[in-house]
This record gives sequence, structure tokens and C-alpha cells, in this order.
Amino acid sequence: MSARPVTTEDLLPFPLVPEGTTAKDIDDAVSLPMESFPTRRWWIAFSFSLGLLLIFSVNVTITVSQGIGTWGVNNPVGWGFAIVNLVFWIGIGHAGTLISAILFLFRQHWRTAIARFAEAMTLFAVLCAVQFPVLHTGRPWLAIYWMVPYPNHNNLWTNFRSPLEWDVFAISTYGTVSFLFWFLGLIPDLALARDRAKHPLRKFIYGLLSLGWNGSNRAWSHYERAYGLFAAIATPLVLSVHSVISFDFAASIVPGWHTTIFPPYFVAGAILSGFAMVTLVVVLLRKMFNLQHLVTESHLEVMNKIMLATALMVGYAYASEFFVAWYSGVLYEKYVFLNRAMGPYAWGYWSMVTCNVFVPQLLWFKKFRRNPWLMVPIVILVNVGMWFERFVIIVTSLHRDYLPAAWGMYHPTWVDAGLLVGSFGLFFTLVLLFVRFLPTIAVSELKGAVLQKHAGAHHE
Amino acid sequence: MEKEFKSKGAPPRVTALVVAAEARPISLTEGGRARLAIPIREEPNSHRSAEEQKVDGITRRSAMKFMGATMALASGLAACVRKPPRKVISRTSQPEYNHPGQALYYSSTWTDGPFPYGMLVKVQDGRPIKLDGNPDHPINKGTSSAAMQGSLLSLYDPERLRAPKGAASWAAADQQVRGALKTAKKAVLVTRATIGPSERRAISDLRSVYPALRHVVYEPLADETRRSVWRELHGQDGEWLPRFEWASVVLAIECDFLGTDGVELESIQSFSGTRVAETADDTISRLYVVEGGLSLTGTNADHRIRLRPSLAASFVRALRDAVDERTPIDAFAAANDLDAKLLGALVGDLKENRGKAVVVAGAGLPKAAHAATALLNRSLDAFNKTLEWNPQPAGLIANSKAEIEALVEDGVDVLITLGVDVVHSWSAFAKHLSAAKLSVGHGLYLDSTLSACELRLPSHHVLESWNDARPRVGIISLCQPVIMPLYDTRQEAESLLAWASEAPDAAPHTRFRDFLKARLEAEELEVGPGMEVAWETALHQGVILGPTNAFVPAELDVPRAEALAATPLQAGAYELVLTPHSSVWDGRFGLNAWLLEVPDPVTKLMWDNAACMSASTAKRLSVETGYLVKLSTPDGSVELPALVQPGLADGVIMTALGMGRAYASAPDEVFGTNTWPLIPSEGRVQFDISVSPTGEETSLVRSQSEFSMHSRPIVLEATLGEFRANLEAIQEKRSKEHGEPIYEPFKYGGGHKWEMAIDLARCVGCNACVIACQAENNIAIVGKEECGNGREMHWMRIDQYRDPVSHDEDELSFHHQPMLCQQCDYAPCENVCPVNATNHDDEGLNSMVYNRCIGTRYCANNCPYKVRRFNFFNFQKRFVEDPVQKLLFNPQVTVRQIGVMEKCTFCVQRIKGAEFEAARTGSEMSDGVVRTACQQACPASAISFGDVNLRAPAGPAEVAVKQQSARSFLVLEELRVRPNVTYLARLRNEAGEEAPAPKKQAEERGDE
Amino acid sequence: MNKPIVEVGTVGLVDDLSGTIPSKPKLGDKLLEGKQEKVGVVGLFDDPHALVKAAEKVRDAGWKQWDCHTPFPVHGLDAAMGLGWSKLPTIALSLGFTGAALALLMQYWMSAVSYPVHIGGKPLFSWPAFVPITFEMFVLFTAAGTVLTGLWMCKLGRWHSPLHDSGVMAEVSSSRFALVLSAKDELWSDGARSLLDEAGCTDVRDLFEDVDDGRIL
Repeated sequence: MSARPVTTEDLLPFPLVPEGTTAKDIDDAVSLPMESFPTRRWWIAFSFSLGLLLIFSVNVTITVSQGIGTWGVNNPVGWGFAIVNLVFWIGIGHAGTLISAILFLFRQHWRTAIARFAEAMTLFAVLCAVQFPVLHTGRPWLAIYWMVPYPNHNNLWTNFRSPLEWDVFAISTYGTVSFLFWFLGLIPDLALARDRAKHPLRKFIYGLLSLGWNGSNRAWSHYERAYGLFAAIATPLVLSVHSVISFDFAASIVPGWHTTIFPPYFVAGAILSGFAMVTLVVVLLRKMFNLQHLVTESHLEVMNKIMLATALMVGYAYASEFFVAWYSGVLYEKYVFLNRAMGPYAWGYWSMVTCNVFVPQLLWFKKFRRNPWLMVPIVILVNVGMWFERFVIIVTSLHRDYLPAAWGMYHPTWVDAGLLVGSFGLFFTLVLLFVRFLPTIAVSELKGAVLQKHAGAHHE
Repeated sequence: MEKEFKSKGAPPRVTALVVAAEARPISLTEGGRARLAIPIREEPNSHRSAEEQKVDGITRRSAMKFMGATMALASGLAACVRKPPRKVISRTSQPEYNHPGQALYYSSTWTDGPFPYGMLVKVQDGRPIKLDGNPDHPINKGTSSAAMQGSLLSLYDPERLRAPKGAASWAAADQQVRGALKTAKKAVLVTRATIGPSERRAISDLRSVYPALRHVVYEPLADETRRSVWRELHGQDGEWLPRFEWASVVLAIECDFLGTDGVELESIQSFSGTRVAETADDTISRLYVVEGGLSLTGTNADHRIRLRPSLAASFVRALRDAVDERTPIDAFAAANDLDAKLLGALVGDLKENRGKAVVVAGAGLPKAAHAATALLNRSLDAFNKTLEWNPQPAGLIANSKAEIEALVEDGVDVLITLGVDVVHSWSAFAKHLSAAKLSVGHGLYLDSTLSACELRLPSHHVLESWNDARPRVGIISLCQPVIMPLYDTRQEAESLLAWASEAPDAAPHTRFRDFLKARLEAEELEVGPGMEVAWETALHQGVILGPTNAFVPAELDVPRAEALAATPLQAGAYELVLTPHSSVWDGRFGLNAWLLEVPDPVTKLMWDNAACMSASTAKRLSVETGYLVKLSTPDGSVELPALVQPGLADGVIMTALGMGRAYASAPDEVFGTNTWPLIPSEGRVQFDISVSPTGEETSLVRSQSEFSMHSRPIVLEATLGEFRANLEAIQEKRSKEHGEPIYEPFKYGGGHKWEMAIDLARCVGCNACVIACQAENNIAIVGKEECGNGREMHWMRIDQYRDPVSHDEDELSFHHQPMLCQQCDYAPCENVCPVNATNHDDEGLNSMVYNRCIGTRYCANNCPYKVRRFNFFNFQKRFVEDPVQKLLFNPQVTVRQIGVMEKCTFCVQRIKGAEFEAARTGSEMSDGVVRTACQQACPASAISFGDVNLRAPAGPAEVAVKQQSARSFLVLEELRVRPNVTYLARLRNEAGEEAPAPKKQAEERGDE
Repeated sequence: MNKPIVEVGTVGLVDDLSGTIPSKPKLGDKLLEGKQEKVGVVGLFDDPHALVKAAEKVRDAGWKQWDCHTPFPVHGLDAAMGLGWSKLPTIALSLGFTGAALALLMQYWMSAVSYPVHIGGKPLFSWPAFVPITFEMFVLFTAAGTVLTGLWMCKLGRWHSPLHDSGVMAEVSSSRFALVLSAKDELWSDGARSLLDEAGCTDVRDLFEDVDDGRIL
């Protein structure tokens, strides 16, 4: 069947735009940030992000020049903030692909207004994520290419049994596919930007990027198929990527890691944190660029509903972990989970549960789902909680594993903190550049969803 | 003689006399920095014609050039890798016998320590790189201690004093000393107790030249209290040596004979030999330890009785009364609320085993306790059965502080200290040094004593010195230099000779050798013209063994002993037990990073000492680990951190002496706390001290924080009775594997399969293996801070576990478990390495490819034994860049860089060396031809290593036999990682189960 | 003939037809008079449904060389234009499966043939461990295949088309719907315009292509 929706309006949970919005209104609204000189709000946000980015680069320099010893990692806790951040950022990324791919497949047309944000976010989140696995190795200058099975005269290959090697392939595939998907969606809108451009240089650049798109319907028909197919493969990809990430733990023999529930559990968590982050970014951007009429409260409400659902799944996962640990009767498993809830890192565990399971319960109330300023603290807390989830999984499992004589504690350092905070700088810098130079809403798709309808209405 | 040369385990050795005198092994004194680089020889390719060498018209040589260029480029790019700079300069003149890359072994004697052990030095390309015990030495029999291993590090210590200070040159210094001695009315020479016979002779010669010169012996940790009691009671000097191999019941009172009390290497060997049972008929000795502190011996006890040291004497008296059936022990037990049942059992055991029991009292106890012990041993008929009289102890009789004080207080003209840091342990002595007209300090470092001296003379390290020692009657142990002096130093004895005569020093570094040789010829040996041969043989073997007939001392003076034993003693609320430090002893090794970093076997403290106290004492004082407490004694007071150490007697504080030294270059960087101000005039126990928390806190660094086994199958144990009743007792406790693997297990070729077995019944937990491993494998020192961050690098560690034996948290039984890479067949670390940097070789070794490692640390996470170590920083930088320190490295082991994972390799360099040798000579590899560093050092011979596929006649290997033992088990077996290290369970010999005579005695007597 | 130039309404110095070069040429200025030729006719609609109707007419008239240009995919237009199904997914997926096969082969060869290393007591070809990478490579190849075939099929990467030259594109990409009849079609005649007029198109223009617009770009 054609990937083209048959009766769009029926599938819309709510009107995407106010009645009577014309194509031009949409064009203008979306193009405004690109065509006008950035507002003060943008500059403030941008310089702040740049500051964080500076912190990031300083700490990267420290780490590479002096060694991982500047971090809190030690024996027995070989992995610390770096891997926590990796999993955290990859998780964030997932919402993007989910919104653009899965919701597309399910014909959730309300997605059009936020899909572009979300995809861009995926891309930037993956960029932030990949910094960490490279940095956390003892010899990044070698790790950066030794992890890749490149032909060499010694016939030294990589170990395809290692989950870390799976990561290399999973994450690089994920990054590439997300980029292509994002770019594919951008082409018609870049063409619009090109045609609106006044300055020849802008015209030239957008012209170059839009690959000479001319809205030919022969192109459209292939394009639609391509987009549909992308959505179809990106869906299993997004599920697989976080599963593979979870294999880093599930495939090991560390008590607390060696669990079959991890793949679904990680994916649910990823979606939760991802939607939280999208909501946060969207709420801020629509305010910053007055897109309230295109990204409406109804959009936010739907996303909040999804968050509520995933929060419940995550809560279930937490519970079942404990049950399985007890039911398995394995000495080490039992201890690890008791230690999580009652040990020296119990504060981490309980802040995780609070932020990820209890706080989202507020979203049962419509008020919280629709009022941006009420949901912002919630989504921030959810992100904090999801970060703690990874912290708890990694640190509490490692610091007390099999031999009590080898137990230890993990104390992060300022460099750890700097890298974590700094990675947000990297993320938001990229987000702000994106909203400044690229259409933040899938214009052609939105028009398709909106004008099609009007036309239809007008036709009958 | 030939046979002795080829004695087992001892590689061919050469004598050093030529090395030192004629041939001049490499010296580093002037600009010879890079002279040690191993010359690189190009592969001989004579069998290949020029054509063959051409590859597509490119000759091998030109190809090399291209590669060279690329390499240069690459290294330029990879500058950030911080590869240590390397100079390759081939040596023009080689030491004789030297084949590049091939090690030479020299016999020598370790005269640094409290007891002179035989030493076997491995010299590679002219530099000593490993110390081990001399297999021909009758006392340590090829084993070594941590301190002994450690003294290698101090040889290359850049902080060593490199030239005389206070005088322009040695000649000038000698002039000054001679002048001063000539005119001196009163001159005093202070030496250690453990100086060799020839040194003693040199001193007496010197004194004959300068009659005003008095010789005093300062040895703060000398066994003087105990020895004086014996002297007094037997009317002659000498010492009782416990013969644990003959004893079926051992009672140690505040006596750490496995650690710091006496000849520990000998004691460990003989004691652990009596702890092994394999069949239902076998039996083992039973060890009771009665102590206030907690000693390594205490952790190995079958029964510990916590008793304040002030009660030691009365306890022993009560025991004697009970043994002699005058009054039962119950009264004493009730009075001091001790477990009457247990004490009853003890008395029973002692009574039943007259002549087969031995009681040893710690050197730290006051005279009364020793007198009482002597009486008890007499009642037990221990003398000349389980105790052997040695009329000639290794050390001289030490003078007490009072005697020395009396001698020097009213000023001396010349005050000379030879190789002893007096001021560290006796700060008041500094003022005497400054008061003297001329003060001369002779030592390795610019330590607190030397700094206080006017003339500061640098000594040779033991590895640069000639010397001899007489550890026992009938044993002469020789010490020969294995490297030319690194600096402009001179050994103390040389100085003595130089001061004794005006004659200029004709042959430097050999003067004392000739003196020593002459003395031997004149006094010790009857060889006549055969001296040269005898001398060479002696140096080759390292020891000269004379007749050793049993000596029987004069009868014990009982009334005198009873009088002495009854000396009353009043104790206060808190008592203080001062012990020698487990590795730095009295502080003489207090600047040795290896020995400072190795965790104390009992407290697991690193780089530090603390005021240890039982949990209840801590509660009473309301302090916790890390709180500073002030210990005040009549002799002085010290502030140091508290450490809650379950197992001590209540009201007893225990702390180690010898810490608190610092390099002259960094005086603020003090390692631990100097507790010498607390030392009493007699013994090492303060019976009435006051303890007050200061309210401040500090952090103590320990290698282990959790001591409970959490009922996991880590260390298995059974009581002897349990085991003899059911030989499967241990096997039944093993944790079994479940299910089947999803893969076909890998098939080995059936070649070598290297495995290890560790007998926990023998292991006592001394740290010899840890340091031996560190020395053999170029393991980095990380320093206190990084230890605190959990980044110590020891490939081998000794885990300690404690089991409660009663509701009282201070009533514990202890386990020591050496933990190293288990070389798992199904190694979990290998599966997770993304770059195959750790993988399995076809001989069952879990290899680590440092060059390939990128440092993801995933392997370490996935290692259930947590034996992998990561280079978080460039720990070795300091050593690699220091021209002297880098001489320490074993060239057969990669020096690991930053960012690389490392771990125990079963000393793969030794395995491959042996295999290569076997291939070269076409001979079969026999069992024991490969010995790991830990195995070689272990004084308890707890470690066996070998090829389990070794077939008859050469096999089966010892390790294969041990794997079949009824006591064998694997750690965390149910994980199905198939470790290749098999542990043999320890058996506790609990009171109540009868303890028949140990095997050895049974054989002798021919009974059963 | 310079009329079309004016009609096309190119930016630049329209009255400066003398060919004198202005001082300070700016980027994109028309320095020389361009040469253009008529390549077809374009009809612009404001209502997608009108376009669909028109498209049906053109289709039934039997045109081959024609196309519609829309700001977004219009429902039923494919049918109206008589376009078949896109072959793109077939090609992309087959590329994907190739990728998966290659991945598995690579892993087998590298771990079991080229340099067999004994890892954790596992067999050299421990295939269950090789599944994740095989899957990822399937996705990667499919994605790459989709994009490449997409570019090729949508004729993207040609940055220049008559619509751009005759500023119709700006209107199309914003909100209008264009139907272009190409002069290349054999049914092409000057009467082609009328076809659009009949289809109810109110805004029909000739479509010119710059053979050489003298811009510096």
C-alpha cells in the first residue's frame, strides 16, 4: 500500500494548527528564525552553551594529557561517569528516532510539528554519546581506530564476541542512519529555504544542500517510499541499539549486570528519558521562537502521556529485577540488589526511583500534561533520574561483586563532573545552531497534513 | 662438589671475586648512564642469498629504510603516547661469563636485615634485577622474605647518599677521622648487632689501634630482654631456637614467630610443614596463640586467647601449675574471665605432649614472662627436644640505651655511627652527636642520624659489599658484591680498615675482601694451600658448612627463674604493645617504597601505621578508624590514627614501630607515624598508658575494606576431626557448576598446560610472594594517594577473611588467601575485550598483550577475582626516566605504559625461557624447571606450579598431584570460568580432638 | 529576443541591455545577457484537487514528458499521473541483505580464518556472538541503499531545472501547484497551453530554460 495517509484528519488527535492557517503563515513562522537576526534570548542561550562547551574541552584536555587517573574510576569500579554518560546520551537520542520512525509508521500525524526537533536531537545526542567511550579508554589515540577492523599487515582483527565491539557497529550505524533520515526529511524544506532566500550566498548554500529539489511529483512518489522504508528499518534499529548497549552489561558476568530483562528495560528507559528531553527542548524553543501555534499544548500532552506510560514500564522493570534476584536464589545477585537499596549508594538508587517512577505519576493530571511550566521540572527530574539509573546499574554492581576482599568505593572527581556538564554544552550549542540555520519544523509534511485537509474540506 | 653445583632449582652460579676485582662489571659512576641498554644484534641471514633477500627488487635493507621512515612519521604522530625515550648503545667491555640477555646468578648473603639469610642474586647484563633465597643456605633454603626482596629497590634508590659530605674526599675524611681518633680521650663507635665476624674483627683491630675507642651496639629491636633472661638462667649466652617440626602442640605467647619474632623464614618452613594432612591417618600440629595484640601468628592460630600482656607472666605461671598438677587452671580462667574449657584443653594438650610441645614467648615481653616460660618449657620437657640451644646467636649482645647514655652523656670526642639510624628510634641521641667534637655518620641515606653528623659518609648497599655472617654455629655465610658501586660510596668495614692504618687504600673495594679472606683462612677454615679453591667454592655456594653438633646448655637455675617469674607488675587501664613493622622492621627499610606499599598482612594498612584496638576498646574510647588518638606513656607520647582491629584484647593498643621516616630531600613527606618515642626501657610493652582522642580525623589507606566472606564459597575450611572422619568434607563444601555450556569447550593440543596449586594449610600470609612478584614483573609503585584511590598495582595480593567464632565481634578466626590471576580456561575477561588484547594461548595461559590493549577496563569489570590492574597514570614514568632507577627493570618483562591493563601471567617469561632452553638443548622439561617468582620466594612452599600434562617418568607434576588432594577446591567454582589455580583447604586443628605426634617424629621414633 | 527575460523577471539590471559592465559587479548579477530557449509550458494551480483533475486530463491525453510540482505530496496524484509503484524498496532491501551476508562473512573470516585467536574457551566461529553486528550491517546497508537509490531515482543532485530559472519554483515550494508540459514530448505543439486552459488553469506560462545565464556563481 502507499505510504501516503488516506484520511489524515481522522488520524489527528487534535488540530495541528489553528483554523485558517495558510501555507504562507507556516512558511513565515518556520523561516523566521533562519531569516531574522537572532534574538537576545538566542544569544544568551548560545553563549551559555558555549561556556559549557569550553568546560567540556578543558576537561577532555586534562583527561587525555594526564590519564584516566584524573577520574574517579579505580579497581574494582572500572567504569564510571563516562559510561553512565554514554548510555544516558544514547538513551536521549532514542526519542528522536522513535518519534520520526515509529510514530510515522503508526501514522501519528501530530508528530510532524516535533519530528524535526526530535531527529536533530537524536543526532546531537549521539554526537555527545560517542565522546565518552573513546575518552574513557586508557589510550584514546589508539582506541579511536583500533576498535575498527581495518585491514592491516599483522592481520590483527577485533573481537566480535565483545559487546563493546557490537557497540562500535551499533552506534556508528545508528549515527549514520539517524543523519540520513534527518537529511532526507530536510530536503524539501531546504528547497523552500532556497527559494525564500534573498541573499545569493544563502540561496547558493541552501540550493546546494537541497540537491536541486523541485517538488516534482515523480520525485515525491519515490521520496515517500524512501521515507517509509527508512522509518521501517529505523524502528528495529532504535530498538536494537539500546539493546546492544544493554548487552555491555547483560553479556558480562557481573552480578546486577547479568540480567535478561536489560534490553527491554533499557529501551523503555531510553524512550522515557528521550521524550523528557524532547519535551524540555521543545518547550524552550517554542517559547524562544514563538512557535506556540505550530507546537501546541496538545503536542506536549501526547508526549507526556507516552512518558507516563514508559515511566510505568521502567517502574515495573525495577520491581521485577528485585523479584528475579530474590527468586534466582543466587547469593551474589541477592546481595547486589540489597546493596543497591540499602548500601552506601542507596541515595542514588532512591533518587532514581523517585525521579523515574514517582514524579512522572503527576502526569496523570491533565494540568501537568498541558502546562509547560509545570512539566519542565518534571522532565528535568526524569532526566536526572534516568542518569542515576545508569549510575546505579554501573557503580553499585561493580563496587561490590564476587570477592568481598576486592570491594571498594567510587568517588567521582571534578573532571568527571566537568565532562558531564560540558557534554550538555556540546548538545545545546548544536541545538541552537540547528534552530538558527535549519527549518525546525517539517514544513512540507505539516503542509501536507494541514492544507490537504483544508483543500479536502473546501472541495466537498 | 659438582653435584652441589647442580643443586635443584639453583641455576649455575659464578663467583664474583673476579667480577669485582679484575673484570670490572659495568659501573655507573661517570656518565655511564646508557651503558646498560641491551645491544641489538641483527639476525644472521647468511643462509639467504642476496636474490632471496630481494622482494620485488627491493632489498631487505632498503625496505627497512622505508619502514624506518614510516615509523619515524608514525611515532611523530603518536607523540602523545609518551613512549619513554630509549638510547641503544652497545657495551664495549662485557663482564666475564656474560652473554647478552642471559642472566648470571651469584650467591651472597643478605646482611641488611635482622637475620643474615642466604641470597641468590640474578644479574642481567651486569645489573642485579632479582633477589632470592640461596637454595644451599641451610636456614632459609632458597626462600626469601618481602624485606629481602625489597632491598633490591634500595640499591637503585636515587635518594642514596652519593659521595662523602662534610669532607672533600674519602681521603680527606679518613684523615680527619684518624686525626680525631688519635687525639681522642674518649671515642665511641656505634654499630648494629648483626655485623659479621669479619666486621667485628675489623672493629677490634681498630680499637687496638685507638684504645680510647669504645664499641657499643645499638639494636632497638634486638631480642635482648629474652636473651638476657636465658643468659641469666643458664649462666651462658645463647638462645633457644624453637623446632616447630618436632612440636605437635605450639603455644605462642605474644610471640609472632611467623612474622617479626625470630628467624621467621625458618619458623614458617618448619611450622607450615606440620600443618598438612592428606589422609585419615595424617595429623597436624595445634597452635594456640595467647596475645593482647593481633599478630600474623595469631591469625594462623587454631585457637586464639585474647589476654592482656600484663597477665602473660601470671598466665604462664598458672599454666605451669596446672601442667605440674599443683593447681588447676580454672581459678585463673575465672579470675580473668577466660574460656575455662579452652584453657583446660590447652593444659590437657600440653600435659599429653610433654617433649612434643613448645612454648614461645614474644621478644617484647618483660623478663618475668620469659622466666616463667622457661620454667614451663622445663616442665614440658621441651629443652633440647622442641627447643634447640644455639650458643652463638647471629647478633651481638645489644647495649641498652641507659648503657650508651652513661657512656656518652658527659661528652665524647669522636662519635661514630656505622650503618644504623640511631636518631630515628632515639631522637635524644642527636644532641650527643652534636656535642661530640667529631661526629661521623656512615649510612645509605642522609637519614636523621647522618643529617645530625658532621662527617656524613655514604655506605655501599649490601649488593655492592663484601661481607660474611655467622647465623649459627657451623654456618659461615658469604656476601659478595654483584655490581660495582653505583656511586662514590664505601662499605663501613672498608672505612674501619682505612681508619685503622695510615696505608693508602691500594685496591679499592677489595681491601675488605682480602681482609675477610685472610681472616677466614686464619680462623675458620683448615684448607692450607687449597685456600683459593675453597674460597671460590665458598663464594660459589655462598655458605661454608661446618660440623653442627647439638649443644646442651647448663641446667636452668630454677629458684632464680621462679624469683624472676614472680616479679610483680601493675598495669593500668590501657596497655600498649609495640611491634616491629611487618615489612620495614625497625625502620631500616622505612624508605623502601615496595615495603611501604605492601599491605600489612594483618591490618592491610599501606604506607602507614595506626593505633590498633579492639572494637569494644574503640567503643569505650568512642573513636572510629581514622580518628586521631594521643598515646601517652612515661617515656613519651605520640598522636596517631586509630584503627579498629577486631581480635585484639580489650584495653590493649597495638602499633607498629619503624614508620615515620622521610627522605632528606622531602622531609615533609613522612610515611606513617614514628612511634619510637613510646618504647619502654625494657621489652616492647607499656603496661600503663593513657589514650585520649584528639577529636581530629585523618584517612588511613588499606588495601581491603571488607573482611567478611558473606558465606560465599571463597575459602573452604574444615576441622581436622571433620576431615579425618570424612575425607570428602571439603569436596562436599565445594560449589558445583550448573548446566551445560552452549559451546563445545576448546580442545587443547595436549602440550604443556600450566597450572598452579596453593596450599592454604601452608600459607601463613607473609608478603614474600607479593614483593617477589613485584620485583620479577616490573610492577609499578603508585604511592599512598593512589593506593587510597584503589589503584594499587600488585599482581598478587593476599586476601584476608574473618569468621566470627562467638557472638563477641572480637573473637575471630582468620583466613589468608593469596589471590592472583586464575588463568581461567573460560576466561570472562577475554570475551569482552574488543581488540583481542587478552586471549588464551595453547598452553592454557590467559595472556595479556600490552601493545594491543587500549584500556577499556571491561576485562577488569568482568573478572570475578578482580585481579586485573590498570595503569591509570604513567606510573612507571619516574623509573623509566631515571638513569639509575631504570636499572631495576627485568628486561624480560614489558614495562607497562599509561592506559594499559596488566595482570599476573604465571611468569610467562620464565616459562618461555625454560621452553626455549629445553628446545635448544633438546631435553625434556622436568617438573620444577619452571618456578614462578611467588613460588620461589614462598617460605611455606605453599605454591606449586607446573605442567599438568607432564607424563611419567618426568611426571606427574607436583601440581597435578595436589589437584587430586581431598582438600582441593576452586574459588567461585560455580561460575564455570574453570580457574587454573587450585586451592587446598586449610584444616583447623580444634582443641578436644586429640593431636598425635606429627609425621616427622613418628618416622624418627618408628612408632605407628 | 529579450522579451522573455523581462517576463521571467530575473533579478539584475533589466534595463541595462547595452551590455556595458556595471562597476562593482555583485555576486549573482547578470553581467551578460543570457540566452534562453522555450522548453515547455507550466500551469499553476492554487488547489491540489484542481491539479489532480488537470493531471488526469493530461494523462488521458497520452502525454509522457510531463510532470507535476507540488510543495507536498498530494493525495491521489500518483494515480492521476498514472505512476506505477516505486522500485526503490526492492533495491534498497536487497542491498541490505547483501550487507548482512558480508558482515557475517567478515566476522567468520577475521575470527576463524585470517587470524584465529582462542578467546574464552569459545569456538573460533561462535556465531551467536556474531548476530548483533550482522543485523547492524543489514540496517546500515539498507539505509545507505535507500538514500543512494533515492537520490538517483528522484534525479536529485542536478541543481538546475527550468522551474528554477523561471521563478515558478518559489511559488511552488511555498503553496502553489504546477503542471509542466515539456517540449520534448511528441504531443508537444504550441497548442499545448490550451490543454491547461481546458483543465481550468488560470495561470499558464511559457517555460524557458537558461541555455546560458551569464551569472557568476
